[in-house]
Amino acid sequence: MPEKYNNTRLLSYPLSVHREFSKTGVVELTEKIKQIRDEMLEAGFVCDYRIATVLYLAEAMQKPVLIEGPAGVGKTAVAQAFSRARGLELIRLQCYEGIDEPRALYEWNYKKQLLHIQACAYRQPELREIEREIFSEEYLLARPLLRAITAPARAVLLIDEIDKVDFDFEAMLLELLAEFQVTLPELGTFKAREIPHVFITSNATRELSEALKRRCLYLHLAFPAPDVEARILALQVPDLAAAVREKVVRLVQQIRKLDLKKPPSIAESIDWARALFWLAREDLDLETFRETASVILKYQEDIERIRQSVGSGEEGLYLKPEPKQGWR
Amino acid sequence: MSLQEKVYSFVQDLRAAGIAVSPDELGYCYQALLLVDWTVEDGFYTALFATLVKDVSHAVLFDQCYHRHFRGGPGPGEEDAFRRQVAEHLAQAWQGEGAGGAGRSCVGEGEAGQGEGAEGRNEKAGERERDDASGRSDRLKNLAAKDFRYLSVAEMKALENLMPLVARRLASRMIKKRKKNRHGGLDFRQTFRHSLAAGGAPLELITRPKIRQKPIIFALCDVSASVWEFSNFSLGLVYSLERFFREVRSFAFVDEIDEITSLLRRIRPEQLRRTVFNSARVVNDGRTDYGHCLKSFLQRYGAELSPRSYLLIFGDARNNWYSSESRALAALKGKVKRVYWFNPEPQDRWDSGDSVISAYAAHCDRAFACSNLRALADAFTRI
Repeated sequence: MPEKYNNTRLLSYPLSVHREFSKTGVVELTEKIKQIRDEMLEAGFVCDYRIATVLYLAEAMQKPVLIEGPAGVGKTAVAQAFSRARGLELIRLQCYEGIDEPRALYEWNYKKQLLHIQACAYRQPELREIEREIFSEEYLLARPLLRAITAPARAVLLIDEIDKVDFDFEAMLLELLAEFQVTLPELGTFKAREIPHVFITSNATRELSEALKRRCLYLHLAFPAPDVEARILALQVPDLAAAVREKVVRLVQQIRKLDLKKPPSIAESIDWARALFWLAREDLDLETFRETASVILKYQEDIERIRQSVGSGEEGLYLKPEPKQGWR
Repeated sequence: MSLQEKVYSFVQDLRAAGIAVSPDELGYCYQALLLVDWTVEDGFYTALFATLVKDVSHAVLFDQCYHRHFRGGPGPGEEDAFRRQVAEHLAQAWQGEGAGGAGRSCVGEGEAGQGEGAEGRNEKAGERERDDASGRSDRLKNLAAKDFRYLSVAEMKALENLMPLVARRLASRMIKKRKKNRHGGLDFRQTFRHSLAAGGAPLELITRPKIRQKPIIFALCDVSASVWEFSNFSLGLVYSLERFFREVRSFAFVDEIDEITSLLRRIRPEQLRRTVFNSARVVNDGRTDYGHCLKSFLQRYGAELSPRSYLLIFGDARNNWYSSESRALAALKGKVKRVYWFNPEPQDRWDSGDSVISAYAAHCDRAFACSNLRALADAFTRI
């Protein structure tokens, strides 16, 4: 019968999760999630109830979070803010095509080892002694993954842009995320004292393996609603006049709806707000927009296109509807 | 129905809709549900979404299922009942917590059983449901093997959900091809330079990176009436391909050819065909003319083709006795890296009547007969 609910797997959950559940009432659960939301806000990240829920679940279930979304929407910022909010060290592994274990996990410092051998050559030590000396932690270059495992306190591990790595590296990562231990043939096994909080970001340029997805909680970040974006700008650029901020948000939101080569991200609208602040603009008019359009648009074609279609109205700048294409 | 059963039948529904949910994920979902407050719908929804869905393109399907099952969140009494039952079992489990493993297994059974009485009553219903679910996935498999021409509208709807999977197969194939032979020859200068740091021992061999170019895909879809079932799939496929390749240009034609790349980005997959007809210039007098379309494609877009491009053509090559203009295809082939033709007709019907597929196939790297979805997917593994 248990098969019906496929829940033989339930057996393997950490008991602490269930214990925590029984102590907390329903109301406290909501409070906890709201608390995370407020803490994240203090750390400089505006998140809604859903994001906070995922963060809370990840913390309670001790599972990695897989964050997807368009570029510049704040995927990395989630992990950074979380580490600030919790006061934990952030260890970042930036992935790229062709990244391999020596870059991600650990590597022996060959040069230092060679130097050591040459330096002690005159006293002709025993071979075993040399081996013991050069394969010690002093000659080990710990890369981000090993650092996250050997960190004295709980760490936040951010694996950025995992969609760039090869399949075999992903498999290695999978093993690591399951066990949080790594064996160095020369030194022995390291096991994480406390399982780090893991955030994995992906731009979805390729499909990740099912096995990896299965192990993660999924969080999709989209471009924020206007009110959320206004709050983000208020948080990041507090000195900008509210009226200008409103106009920035309204225009950026409209521009995102167009089919551009690269739609402006949140990071870019923040940059734009900063630029306007430093230029000490009291108002966002057509001329200011033309001068600063390159902050939010990164392709000449996009800039040309927007320049033609932005108009100035009573409400501030707006986009004129484009002529419809094609034959009808 | 208790909430746990509700969640379970919800997951069955997701599976039937084509979202793969593993037993593991279902377990995590139950676990997450214990951790959120269900009276806040956002919390309940997020607990389900974060654990069951791992792909944003599944979000629409998920939302549909969610609304069918839990519109307005779980019922008011259900939460308390579920929590109480689980809590009771937990309390029992912790009395024997001394042996950690034993306690744990109790917890598992507690959650699993959630009242053995209820189990017994629901045994029959459960089996029926299981049969149902496996039946559904079998049906989907059979559908994939069914000829495009004989599909009903409902069956087509069911199959369209599989398109992202087929597109992924094509994508992974092309990516793998690109990944082979990543390294070029030895870079002696760099290797020597680095060896100096180690006293002249070349510890690291440095190879020249091969310049790899990402493919640009040009997809040409026949959307005429003779292949209208197939065109639903080819359009759906091109739509999904957008997600995997940075550069996909898509074109539709009957007897005029028009670019639909930006159109596909804007619309939802359900409206593909209708929108293509409404807002792209693909029809002149309505009889398919491959020759003219290939010629005008060559004229209008020929300059944009490069050795990085792959040309994928979806259509039956039934040319209404017009001239085949296979020279245009030959010229296209000279400009691009590969040309593949996907023909929805079985091989024995090729060249019958007004079909001129051989004339075209001669200028393709390969031409595939894909009369059903499975054949189409298999064709992708062979390119």
